[in-house]
Amino acid sequence: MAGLVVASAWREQRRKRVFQSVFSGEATSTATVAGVQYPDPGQGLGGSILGSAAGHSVDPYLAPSSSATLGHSSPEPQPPHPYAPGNEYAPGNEYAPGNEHQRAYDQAWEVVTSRVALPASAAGPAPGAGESSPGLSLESLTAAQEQPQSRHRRNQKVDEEREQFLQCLSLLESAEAVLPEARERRDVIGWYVSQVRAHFAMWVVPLLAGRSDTAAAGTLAAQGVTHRRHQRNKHSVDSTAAGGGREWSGGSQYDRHMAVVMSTIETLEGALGMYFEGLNSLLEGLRRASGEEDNSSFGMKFKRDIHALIANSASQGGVMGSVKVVLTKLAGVILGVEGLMVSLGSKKGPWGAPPAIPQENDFDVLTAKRKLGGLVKQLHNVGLTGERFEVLFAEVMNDMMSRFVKGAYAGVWAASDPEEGNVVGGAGTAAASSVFTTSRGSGGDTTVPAATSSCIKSLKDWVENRYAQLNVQVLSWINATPMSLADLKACQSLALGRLAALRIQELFDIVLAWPDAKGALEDLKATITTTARRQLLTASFSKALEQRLLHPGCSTLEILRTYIHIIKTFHALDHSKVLLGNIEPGLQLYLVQREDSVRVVVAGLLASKEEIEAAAKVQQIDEDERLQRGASGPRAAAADLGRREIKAQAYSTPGVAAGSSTATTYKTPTTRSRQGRDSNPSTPAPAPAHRQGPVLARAKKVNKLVELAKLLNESASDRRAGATDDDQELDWNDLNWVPDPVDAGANYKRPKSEDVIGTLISALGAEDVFINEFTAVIAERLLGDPKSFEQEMRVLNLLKRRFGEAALQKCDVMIRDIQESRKLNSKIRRNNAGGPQPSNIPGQPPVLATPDNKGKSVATPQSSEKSKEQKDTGYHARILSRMYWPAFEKEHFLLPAPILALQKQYEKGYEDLKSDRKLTWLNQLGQTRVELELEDRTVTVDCDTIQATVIYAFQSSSDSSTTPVKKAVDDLYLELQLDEDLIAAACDFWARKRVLRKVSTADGGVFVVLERLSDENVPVGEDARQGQAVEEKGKEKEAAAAGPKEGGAKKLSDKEKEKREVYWKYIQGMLTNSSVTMPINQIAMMMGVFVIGGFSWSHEELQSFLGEKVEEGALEVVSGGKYKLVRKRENV
Amino acid sequence: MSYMDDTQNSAPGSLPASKAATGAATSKKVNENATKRLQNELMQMMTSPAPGISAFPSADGNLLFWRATIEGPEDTPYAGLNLKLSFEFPANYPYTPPTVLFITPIYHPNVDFSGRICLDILKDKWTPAYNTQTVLLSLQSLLGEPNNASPLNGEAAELWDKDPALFKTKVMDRHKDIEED
Repeated sequence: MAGLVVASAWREQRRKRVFQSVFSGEATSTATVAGVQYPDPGQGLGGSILGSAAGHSVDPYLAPSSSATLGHSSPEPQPPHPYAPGNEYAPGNEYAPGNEHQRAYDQAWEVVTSRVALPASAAGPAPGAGESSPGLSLESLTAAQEQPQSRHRRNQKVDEEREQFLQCLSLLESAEAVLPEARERRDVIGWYVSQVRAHFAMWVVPLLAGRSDTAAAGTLAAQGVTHRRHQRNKHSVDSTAAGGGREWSGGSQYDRHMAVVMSTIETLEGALGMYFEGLNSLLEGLRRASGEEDNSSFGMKFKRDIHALIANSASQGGVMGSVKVVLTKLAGVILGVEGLMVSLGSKKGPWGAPPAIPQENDFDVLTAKRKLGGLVKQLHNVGLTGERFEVLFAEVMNDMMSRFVKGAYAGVWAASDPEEGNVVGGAGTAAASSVFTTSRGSGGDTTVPAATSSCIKSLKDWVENRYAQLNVQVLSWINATPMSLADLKACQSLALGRLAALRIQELFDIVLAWPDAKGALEDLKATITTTARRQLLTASFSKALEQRLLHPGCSTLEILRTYIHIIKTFHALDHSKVLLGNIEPGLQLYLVQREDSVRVVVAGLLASKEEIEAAAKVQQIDEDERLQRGASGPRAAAADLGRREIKAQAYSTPGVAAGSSTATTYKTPTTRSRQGRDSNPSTPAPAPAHRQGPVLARAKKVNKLVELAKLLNESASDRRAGATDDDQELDWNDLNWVPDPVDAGANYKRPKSEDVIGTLISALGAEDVFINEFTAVIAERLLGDPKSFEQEMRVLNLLKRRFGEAALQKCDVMIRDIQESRKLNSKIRRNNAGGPQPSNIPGQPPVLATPDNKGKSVATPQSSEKSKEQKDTGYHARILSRMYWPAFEKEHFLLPAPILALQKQYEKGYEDLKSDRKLTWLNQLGQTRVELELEDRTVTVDCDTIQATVIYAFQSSSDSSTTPVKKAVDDLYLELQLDEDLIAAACDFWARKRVLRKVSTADGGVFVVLERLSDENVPVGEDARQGQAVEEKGKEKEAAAAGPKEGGAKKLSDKEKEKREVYWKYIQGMLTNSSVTMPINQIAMMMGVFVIGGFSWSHEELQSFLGEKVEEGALEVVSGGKYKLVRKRENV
Repeated sequence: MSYMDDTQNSAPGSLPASKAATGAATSKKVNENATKRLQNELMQMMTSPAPGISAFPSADGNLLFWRATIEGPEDTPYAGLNLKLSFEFPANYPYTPPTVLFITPIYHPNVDFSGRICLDILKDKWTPAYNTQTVLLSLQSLLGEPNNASPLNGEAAELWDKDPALFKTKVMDRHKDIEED
């Protein structure tokens, strides 16, 4: 609009108005006429044609009031009709007398121009009125539009007037011959064209601008108010448009914009009719005057000009915006993007219907099509379908495609099974589902290639039958270049690109949903054909990973489980593993930082068959529940989607664990495994999960990465089957061969299988870290569950294949130790019975032994007599080769005397068997079966040796046991020389078994034997506070649960202390030899390089350690924050 | 490079800056064996150190180049002195001996003035069973019991037997603590 500069001072300067100044901004596009200047009708020749418009020009649309004031303040009286013939015309006063030719010419000019002069519509009020009340000026314009008609009618009656016009016209045309003296000749047509332009600029443009302004204002005002009124007035659009904008405030946005468009069209149609009538009469006259037929081409040219004018002015304002809204709406309905919810108003659900391919003969679609056709044709007629319209249309269609793809296929991940497609497609209303199916049925006659998923197929179908069709129609309406087949293909590939983008966005959720989202993977597989898309995929997925998975809110187990899904998903997506390789580094880096990741993997690998089955069962239950839920409502898939979202939320909000049960359970395995590792390894193993009912089984499922064990078993059989895979590259008969992907690296080697375990292990960093951890876990298990290590053996063998025999030698030795121990046990027992039978079995020099008192041997608090036949009832030891087992701390405590005797006996037997060997007992690592004979019951418990020792201490000293034995932890400490924490933990263990009862917290806790269960609530002796003690029980249990952990922490600190010593040696060596002074960064770097197994301290830990050493006086800090060893004085 | 593998497991952020420094190894396999072995030797020295000797890789993180310190044994002319040495390990260590030099100027029958040492186990008597610690212990004992039969420093060999007092002064004259690094 800014380009339109209308001469200011409308009234007083009117005589000097210069049209060039009106259109100065459009000189290029309207070059045909812009350069020519014409005088106003009846203007004298000597009049100043070129006014100084530039100096006075004010943009009337930007500052209408100023121009209005100017107008009012103008002292010069203004005639109401500036174009009236003869206005201000003073004939003859400037002509040389006798120049009759010129005079005649001017008179003829006057007649002609006054006849075709355009009416100044809305003449009365100031031009600003057009903006303030569009309705009014619309009416005035229509009135103006009728004016020439009536005049025409009048003219028909007044024949001579017409005759005069024609004569004058021919006079003007033939002026050269007839009036040779008239030197000032002017072009009538050119004058008319400039007339039209002026009129358009003065009257029509403000009108249009006012309209679109109102629409924009209405849009703003209506936002948030009128959603519910959607479409109520849809069918009364025409009337709304005819009636002006009165209903705009109540109508929907679409209605409002439709009204704007329609009224604009009407205005323009009116104006055009007016212009063409004048032109036609001129042309007709000219034709008659010259007798030629050739001026039709001028009509075309005029039309083109005027259309360009309209297009230019319209594009400036909001009309095109309104057109866009209307187009979007109509195209949306036709293409099915808007969904059917509007027309099926009553069935409208909370989600509305997702976009779906509409049927050909759907009523709404047909209506919309018709309406769109009418609209486009009308627009075309008034010249609004220029280049700008095409661009607009392209924009709308582009938007449509994005919306359709997003709406119709987001979350639709089903596999390409046609039956399933039906279910998933019908995620919304039943109507949408049926539409989906029928459209599939129509195109599904041809055999579908296996690789093409349902989404791709239906999308291609949609593009071909709906999208392209609409395109072709609209383009034909506006006489643009029609679409070619190549364009169609381009459209399809564009649509597939959109689908790819969508799937890439969803990829993380797809991974989580594995293996339910295979369809989506097929979409992706078929669409990620370019390197750019592959890069986009890896980039966006890496980002999603970081945001949603790799944060402290996710447990390592969950990360690993997702990782397995990622591996599988990406393998399905891209067999070459290149994509996976591209996203892996971040994940691996993160996993390496997680301390427990190796442990989780190892535990998963070693999961027993029972656990796998239990997990499968839980999954089955989940599945059933989901199916049940699915059957209950038609929106199963939608609900499922919702659930997925919730799950995703749990991933993405680390802080809000309370909201989601999943997030909290994820955390448990970390502490659990830690606990298991640090406390006594022979903690009673939890019973197999399947006995504990679904709820517990579920918790179990969360705790272990059983998928790995399953995979391990599967891959074992796979590998045997596909042993000849090695020369796969050379398999000329492989019809499925594909070349390596373009983004593969230089040393790329095609992997054979998805190899989840291999990928996972390699992700965890160096091999030896994994092997060390594996060894530790194996050790724990070997010491814990004595019966079978089939699973361990199998895993071990599989790992051997991966890492080689040598790496896992320790595990071999450990397993052999346990097996040998069994043989040895029976041998020693035999020897103890019979004579010594020394044999020379080669073994490892120093051995550790763990007592393993299986059998009914041990302490029974009630019976004071200890049967001597215990000795052959089961004192077993496990002889461990010290070099091969993880370092165990020796826990000192006094064993019960009978056990000690058995131990001595065993030791003797062993030393007889293997001379030069000495046993070092690790008493805390054993297991014991304890039978307790209490007054009213007998309790049999499998527990560890510490617990057994503690309960043994409660044994009644005499038969006359009227009062139960009562002991304090502090007393037990003296008696057993065992760590108090461990005693307390053991007592609490027995308290939980309802064998002991805590009666006081004095002396570290006083416990009494619970001889009769009925005693539980009876106060003991004179202790009046017993009631309270019972109440305290609950709290004590919590304390007990915390007990073992403390013990673990203590042991850990021993280990830590050792580590600190070694590290200190390193630092000393470093500062003695490498460099006398070193900054902390260099120390950390050197430690990282030289410490075997990795330097496990963080920068902060190292700093605090060095700080301690400085305080101790062993180190000093010299200039630049460098550390230096303090020199021992005597050495200098 | 084995130690590079190991650094991946250390705390993130403490990755060695000079990672690429050893990338120029000609034979990767051999080099790997050598570094692994040296790492183990280092570990051993750190966990069970022998009195009076210590060694550590050089400050640039190169495992094939070490610095060592021997404290002069009591009852020898070198008592109370700190003697620095440099070890340069070949890529096929331990199959060939390291090149050992005294950095600290030392007056000794079997050490020449540029620090070169005449010790059979560093030459023809070397076996892979030796390691840095044993070499250092040998050198430590060499300080107290020089092999005067094949001296590099003839004067020192003579003085050792003839004039222990003069020998001691020569030692102290020659000795210079190298603090600056």
